[in-house]
Amino acid sequence: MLIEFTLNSENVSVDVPAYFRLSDVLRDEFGLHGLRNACRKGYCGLCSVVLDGKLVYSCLIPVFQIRGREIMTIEGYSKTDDFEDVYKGFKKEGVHLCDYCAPTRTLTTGILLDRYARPDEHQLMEILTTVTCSCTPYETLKKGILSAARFRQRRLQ
Amino acid sequence: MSEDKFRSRLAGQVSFPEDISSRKMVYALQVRAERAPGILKEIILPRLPSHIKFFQAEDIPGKNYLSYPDESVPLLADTEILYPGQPVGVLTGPDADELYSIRKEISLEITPIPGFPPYRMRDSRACPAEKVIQKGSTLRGMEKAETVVEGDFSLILPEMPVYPRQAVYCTKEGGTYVLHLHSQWPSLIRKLCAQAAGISRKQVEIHFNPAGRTWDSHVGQSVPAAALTVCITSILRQPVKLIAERDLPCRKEIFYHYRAGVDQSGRLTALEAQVYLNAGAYGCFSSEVVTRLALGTAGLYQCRHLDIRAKSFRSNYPPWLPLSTWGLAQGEFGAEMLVNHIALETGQDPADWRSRNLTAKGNLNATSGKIRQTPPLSDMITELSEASDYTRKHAVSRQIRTNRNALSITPSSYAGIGMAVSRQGYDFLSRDKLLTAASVSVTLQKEGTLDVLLGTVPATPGIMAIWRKNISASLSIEEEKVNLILDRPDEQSFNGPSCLSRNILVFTKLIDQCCSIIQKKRFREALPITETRTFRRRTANEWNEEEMKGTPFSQSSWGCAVVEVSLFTATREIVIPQIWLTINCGTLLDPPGARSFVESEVRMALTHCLDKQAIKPSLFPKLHIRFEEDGKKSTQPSGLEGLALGTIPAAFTQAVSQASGITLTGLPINSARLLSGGN
Ligand code: FES
Ligand code: FES
Repeated sequence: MLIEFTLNSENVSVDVPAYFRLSDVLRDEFGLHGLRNACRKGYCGLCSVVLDGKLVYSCLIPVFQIRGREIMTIEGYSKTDDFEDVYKGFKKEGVHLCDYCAPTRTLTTGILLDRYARPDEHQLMEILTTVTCSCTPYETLKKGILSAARFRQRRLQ
Repeated sequence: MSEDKFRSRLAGQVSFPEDISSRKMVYALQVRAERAPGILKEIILPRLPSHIKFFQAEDIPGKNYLSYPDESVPLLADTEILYPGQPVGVLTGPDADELYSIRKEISLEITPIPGFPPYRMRDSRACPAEKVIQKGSTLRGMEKAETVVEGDFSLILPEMPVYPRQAVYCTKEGGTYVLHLHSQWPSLIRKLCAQAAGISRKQVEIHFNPAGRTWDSHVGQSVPAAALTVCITSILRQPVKLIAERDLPCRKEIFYHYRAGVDQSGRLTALEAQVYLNAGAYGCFSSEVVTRLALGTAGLYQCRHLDIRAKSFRSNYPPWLPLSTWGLAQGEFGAEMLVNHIALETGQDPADWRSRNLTAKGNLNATSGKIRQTPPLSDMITELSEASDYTRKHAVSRQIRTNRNALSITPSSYAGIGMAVSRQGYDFLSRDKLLTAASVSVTLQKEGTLDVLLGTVPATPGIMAIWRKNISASLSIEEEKVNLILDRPDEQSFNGPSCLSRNILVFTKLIDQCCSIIQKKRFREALPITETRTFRRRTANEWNEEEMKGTPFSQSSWGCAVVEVSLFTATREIVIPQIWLTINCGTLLDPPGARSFVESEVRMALTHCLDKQAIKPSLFPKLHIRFEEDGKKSTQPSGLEGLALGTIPAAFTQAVSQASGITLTGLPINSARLLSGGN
């Protein structure tokens, strides 16, 4: 099935069976390896991408559903100013992410900061839980997220 | 880490073996025996298309076994199948999905054989390792006892979360097999891959996948996968990606039985303990693990009469050793559970009991080695008790527990608080070179660059940056000119695994030694100058593993934890509001990194406690971590690993027992188990 959609601001098309997982298509057909195919069951969030501005777990989405829609992955997001805020925030607070969840964590943090410009404790938890991570401490991550939020506020002021 | 490197990591530009592919690549999928134990009679294959290949034991070009310390494990089983899931063959082909569907059509003819006997039956065939610590006469010690405290408990360790980062990719470049994988056992991998593929070690080049924290127990996943991938690459002469699959369900269980004599003042007069560790079908790594398990179980307290027996036993489950901290923290769990039990039986404050009974300078330790320096634990206990208000909270909770039956109303929740201490030593105690070898080679080149050949895997993300910074400061060389080389097949000597904080403890020391010699020579001798330093193993006088006598660790780190829990009466939900942790690990090289490390280990320790894979951030306790540095210039860094693991599970168990009024006899625990009486 030929599926056309927008990927990281470019119009693209792919010919794959309609039931293929979006995560597989993005990784295998487009070589976008920033998202991980970890649990393939919607548990870990490591396959998160942005579909029409909203975070989704791409392992749960059959590819035919993205026809005509807009997808952004970390590869596209890393070219935005918003990415820079997260990068600076994480860097400043020494968030030593192992590379495994780093890209998805960065993407989800950036996107959720659109919604929560100044996240309170509860919202921080939501940002944290979107992606399962097995190594970076929550306290450090929280500091990194708050710092990213401050960089963003300063830039937008 | 340079700006750009950090940016590219966040931007997803780092490749993992699962991300690597090439045009000619084939996938490899292991075929496993579903039933065990038994004798494999035949592998019945469907008609395979020409692009699909199947390999079995007889196709392995070199040796079809992995020689681990203590016992070898077959790479592909050809006769005896000892556990369900044991690999018997490998399918290869260009399409992973096709391999999965063909695998379903393969059947195995297996004749059943009897399994290993239960561990309580004394059958030497089923016991790969046993270690005994004996001191004095427990018979005499027990005679002096006023009270005898006896108990049993079990610890079932959780499965580690598994990600496909364990995929392995191998390609042949010229005469070299280039392996992409993640493991903290680089030298062992090189050796065993070469052995299995019948090639020389120099032909194996390892590209480490930079995934964060390494885990002690990953040898069982990475080594066989790597060896199979290299074998198949060498047969097919094509790049091969071995598909990583979920871990097989292991039985990671440890059983404890203890009997302790306590005199009127609450002092230990004798301690008898038996610990049994389920090693799975093969006893690899058993000896080191059982030694540490015995040492941990002996505890850190004064006792003249000891009889500690630690054993591993075989079962028809996948082998899974070594475990995190190689058994020391798990042994300490037993010792600390006993202390909490004694305090409860004798009506004493556990913090106070500990402070009064800890060994001190001049005492003999459990293995009759003289203690030359009083451990800092007593002060740590006092400070932590004050910081957490332990004594008061403990007394209140105990009061409530005692009176709960007399209360006419049930509160919505009960509180409990627990304490435990831990000592971690980072030396390997066996003399097996596979474990203990470590050497570093540093070359100051003519152009002013410095090559540091490590042959180790960074166990935490920050350690490489610290080494680079320290080297640059000690030799006044710009950081960019310091090349840390993890792997160079031609020159690399054999190094043990990067676990047990060996990176911090051993490699930092070796790097320092090399650098200070280079500093002395650099303006006197012509460049390039190369200096190699090798880790000196401990002599049998210092530590005798066979007899379990002497001073086992050259250097130790100390930890003390207090865990607070709330137990909701209606639902039996357990919440851990706060954890206090004090750590003394010598000089801290990287304070933020150390904090991160401890925090993630707390998370891991909590998975030992609660019956969940991971602790949700929203339920994660507030952590109060304090590092004690004694400020002496001479103090070496001594590692962090295992301190949270050695303390938190026992402290948690005490807290939950107190809150629930149920004496817990095992971990992990969950609400359902508490509702049904706890056991
Ligand atoms: S891979 Fe999609 S949620 Fe885990
Ligand atoms: S998985 Fe390693 S930092 Fe998240």
